[in-house]
Amino acid sequence: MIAAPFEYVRPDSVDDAVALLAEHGNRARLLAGGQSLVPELIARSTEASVLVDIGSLPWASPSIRGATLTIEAGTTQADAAGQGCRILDAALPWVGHAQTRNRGTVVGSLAQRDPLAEIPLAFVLAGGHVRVVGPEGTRAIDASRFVSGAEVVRDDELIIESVWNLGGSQCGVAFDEVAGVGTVAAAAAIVDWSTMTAALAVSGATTGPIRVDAPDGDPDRLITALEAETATVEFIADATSPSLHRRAVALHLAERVVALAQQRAEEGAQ
Amino acid sequence: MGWVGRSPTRSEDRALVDGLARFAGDVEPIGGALHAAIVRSPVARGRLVALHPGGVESDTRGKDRGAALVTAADIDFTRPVPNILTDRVSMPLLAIDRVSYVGEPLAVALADTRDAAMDLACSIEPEIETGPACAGLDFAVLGPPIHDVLDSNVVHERTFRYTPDAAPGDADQLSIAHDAVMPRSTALPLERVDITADFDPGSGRYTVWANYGGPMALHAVMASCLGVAPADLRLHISERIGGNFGIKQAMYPMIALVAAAARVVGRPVRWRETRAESLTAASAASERRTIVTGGFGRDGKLHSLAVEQTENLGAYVRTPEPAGLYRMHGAITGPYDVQDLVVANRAVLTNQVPSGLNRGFGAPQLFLSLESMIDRAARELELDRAEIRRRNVVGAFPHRCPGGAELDSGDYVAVIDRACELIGWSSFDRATSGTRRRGIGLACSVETSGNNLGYMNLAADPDSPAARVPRSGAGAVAAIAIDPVGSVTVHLDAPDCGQGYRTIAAQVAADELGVDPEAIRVETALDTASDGWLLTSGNYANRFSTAVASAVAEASRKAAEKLRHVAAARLGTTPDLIDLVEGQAIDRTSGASTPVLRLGGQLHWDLAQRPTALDGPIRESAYYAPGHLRSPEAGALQTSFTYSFQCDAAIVQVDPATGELAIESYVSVHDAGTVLHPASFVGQVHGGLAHGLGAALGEEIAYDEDGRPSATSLHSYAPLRATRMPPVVVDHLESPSPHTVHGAKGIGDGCAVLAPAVLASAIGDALELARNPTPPFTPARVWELAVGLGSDR
Amino acid sequence: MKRVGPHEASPVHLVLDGTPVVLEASSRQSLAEAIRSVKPTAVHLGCEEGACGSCTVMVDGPTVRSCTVLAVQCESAAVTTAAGLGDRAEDLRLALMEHFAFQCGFCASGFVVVAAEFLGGLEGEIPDEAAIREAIAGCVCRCTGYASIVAAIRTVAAERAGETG
Repeated sequence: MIAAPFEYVRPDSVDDAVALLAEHGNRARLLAGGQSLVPELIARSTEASVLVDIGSLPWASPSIRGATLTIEAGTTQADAAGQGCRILDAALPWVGHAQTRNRGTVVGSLAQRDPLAEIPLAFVLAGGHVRVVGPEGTRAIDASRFVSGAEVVRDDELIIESVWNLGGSQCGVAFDEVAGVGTVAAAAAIVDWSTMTAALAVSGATTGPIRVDAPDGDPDRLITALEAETATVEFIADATSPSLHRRAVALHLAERVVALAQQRAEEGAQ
Repeated sequence: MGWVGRSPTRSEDRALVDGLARFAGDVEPIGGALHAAIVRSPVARGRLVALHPGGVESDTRGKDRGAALVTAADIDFTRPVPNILTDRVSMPLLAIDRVSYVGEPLAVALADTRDAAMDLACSIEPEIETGPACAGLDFAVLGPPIHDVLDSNVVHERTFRYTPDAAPGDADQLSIAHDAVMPRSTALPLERVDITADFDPGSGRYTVWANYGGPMALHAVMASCLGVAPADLRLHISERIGGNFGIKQAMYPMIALVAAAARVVGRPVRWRETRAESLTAASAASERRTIVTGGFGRDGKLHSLAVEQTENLGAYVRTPEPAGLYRMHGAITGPYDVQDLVVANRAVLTNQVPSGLNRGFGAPQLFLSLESMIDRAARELELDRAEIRRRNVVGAFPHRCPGGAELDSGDYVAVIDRACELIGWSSFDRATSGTRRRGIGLACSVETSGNNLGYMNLAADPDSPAARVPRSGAGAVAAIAIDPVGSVTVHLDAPDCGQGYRTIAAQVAADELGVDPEAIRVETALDTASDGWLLTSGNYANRFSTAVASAVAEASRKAAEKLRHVAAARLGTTPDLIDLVEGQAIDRTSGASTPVLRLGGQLHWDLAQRPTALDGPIRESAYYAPGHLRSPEAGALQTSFTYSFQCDAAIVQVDPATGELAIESYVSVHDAGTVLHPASFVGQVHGGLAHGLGAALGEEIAYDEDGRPSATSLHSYAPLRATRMPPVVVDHLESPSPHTVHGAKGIGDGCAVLAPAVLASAIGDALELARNPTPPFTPARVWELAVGLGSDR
Repeated sequence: MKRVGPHEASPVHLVLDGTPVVLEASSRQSLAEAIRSVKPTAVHLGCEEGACGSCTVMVDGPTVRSCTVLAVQCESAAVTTAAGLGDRAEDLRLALMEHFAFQCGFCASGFVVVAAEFLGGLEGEIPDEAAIREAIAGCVCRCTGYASIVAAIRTVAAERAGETG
């Protein structure tokens, strides 16, 4: 297919971009890497009469500030790799292909809030926040509230950066996924001996990624915690997988990543 | 040593790696063309009430003067696609009153640019009174007809019984049945359909440029749709076709439609297919239920075979269907020596896109069930799965199959043994370190090469005139010419879709002329008005290595004979003493020589050198159509020129907790006679395997209960990528065919046919299932098998 | 602020395979179509929806699928296609030919660019087969089953490592 006609606008600043969003409302869509949006426009499954291209604004490169990694809206997934956030690094190879990672952005993937996407799963596990700008200025949304949809980015706002917690020095991470035609489910875990914490997150649920924290920081209790957390949650049923299979995969992958993250944390501690 | 059997670098490749290779979409064959986009049905079944124009923003520059909508009423001079099964329902070029599948063409939107044509097409709102769809094979048999004029969706039903004179006693027989439904999948060549058409009102003649790969029998069908004689439809086929695998056959009604649109608007029209159209509205491998029942002795010997096939043809019988049911007919017993045979064929219509050619056309469905049945017999009889095959495969050649095929040559047991040796069959250990389950499987098949059109006589109603016309077409034609400066050109009747025809045909001709292949140019572009071609010409059915290569050799031999004559006159000897070697014509007695191609060039300048007064410069053509192909008699059909044999084996690991499937290793051993170009042979095996594994692992064209296809883009139909291919070992034995010049047989389809059966065998073994499972082996499906959930369809 | 209306065309300046070009692109025109308007064989479009990789090119360095990048997004970009890799990729091209890497070759324009990028990033190491397969997983080939392409890339990596090491 070919996209329906739209107006293309390339603002010179974030303020201009915000003004454009205010002007066009929900008829406008933000374009950064475009690796999700452009295919949707081509298939005419998404409509937009104005595309606001924020990809070439003067965004900063990823930077470490204290115990966090800041990734601005212009940073591609490829450029975000190897910058210090281990769980993001573990997730990125599962995202699309090299060519989409070279163009697609981390923030763009977060903004899509696809319940089966890898980057939101990694984000909810890492913890942190996104910073959004709108007509009333900027505000931060906590990672878990953002990913769960408890707090949403409005049509007149744009995400300018995502801030990722880095975890301690003796931190082991793991990410795993099962895919058919589309993603079945993915799981990610962090076991951090330096802070004595452990957390686990899985995707596949209709409500988006689910995160659990280990009671008393004991990674062996993560699976029980996840089972309790997901007991009443519905998993997605689609052409790739029925709901029952997705749940089974999510729970099994959870076991795999917890074991692997523990092993890696121990290796890191030695 | 000759050039055949060696692997010179392909002449096709330099332009490919340089980014300079021209495909149909890269050239503009005629100026001033309007671009077309097709308005298609969004629903599977209903009454087409109207097409409402929507609001389309006009181009602000006012350039779009060509905007037009061509509807069914505008092309009332066309005829629907004729078929051999029924004249009560035929596939129209544009839907008339009724729609019968999602994607059925309703109108042609035309504009100056492709973008504007797409906008216009998308703005049209079809008003359709939606009816209940029949989107499944089983429902089609029992449910109400999808076309009101039919009494039933079953449009074809024939039973063939072949009983030997002395049937073996059945007292000790064990009857084993296997019932499997092979789902639909598609070929997915990366290049999409590209058609440009022009109509000349002065001559009443159509000219079309397209990346059409044949079969050329359908050229007459296109002409018939347009209501003109075949000579008034001039078709130019592009020099390079970016993959085909059968599906490009399905573009022929679209060629007629685009041509008709050009006539209506009085301008050339160009249509480029979208990927969504190629997935949903072009064609698919048929869904087929195959119930195979074998009667075995306690020794594991197969005494009788019954094959019951129900084919889902989609919404219309699009010619050449029901060829898929009959492609393997003569060899439906596969590699097995069994004379007592019953074949019951049935074809049904459903609200799905019409089925058609797909790599291995009609064979994957057969071998999935046949080989699964053999595996099951081995389990029941407590025989090794390789051993039961050794006991039953044909051992002496030629071997007459009850269906009519004459298996020409081979050593089937040696191929099975080799496959077992390479996979480590006898030393296989199912133990794994973790919870994963390990299994091993194998399957065998015969592979046909070059179809006998006589299948039409079997498919036609025995009382119809169509059944009484004798048919045995299957040959090829090739031409060779030497121009006034001594350059050699070979013309093929087979467009190249990637198989390296230019390279291999040059090797064949080079051997006959005693020159280097680089001295020979091979034309694969085809112009129906000026090039030689046959009804059976085209790129399909494995016909190159058998029919086409043989025709090239025969035409080249004619040229060589003439060159020897001219050389003999020049060197003062007789033609029988002339050898053509390394570019020279050499007098074997005196050792005197002269450059061979220069002789060919000089014939243009001095006709006095010609062998006879009736002769001219070298411009030779030759047909190759061996006499062993006949029109079918008593239901028995010599299906194909030659029969290759293959045994594949695989080791898999299954994670029962998630349904993840890892293919540890895959072995593919072939006997396809003489190998013309070994590197291309191996490439065909790997490529066919990618197709077969794709279909086995989840490349499915599935429909929901409303007849909506699930795969509408390459995001929802996931083609196999490099990371999913297993380690593959390829080997071959050579039992030359007596029916081809080089002894070569077909190789292109084998793994595409067999891989689903091999994986079914290995997964069945890993999960210790009573019967082999049915693809697609997606994680969800394998998990269901592992935990005992869901029905095995 | 740059604006291109829904039915307008706007000039886009590119350095295409080393040559400065000015293209008239509509707002919705893909980079792939823009490239094809001047070099029709340099990229091929297998899907036009960002999945098959046949249209892969380098934009200011990294490889991207040019069908899902808008031409207007690429103002002043340096775009390199399979037809513009020059002498530095000749060993790759020869290896691809010697390994019979392609059959129909409709996908070749994408694989050549992706392989060139991958090989360029190796810095003398010889990748294992899994790494090569991962590197080319963004491109679909329907003819070859990939083995020949993988073999060609591995050969070039080994040759280059031999030269540098």
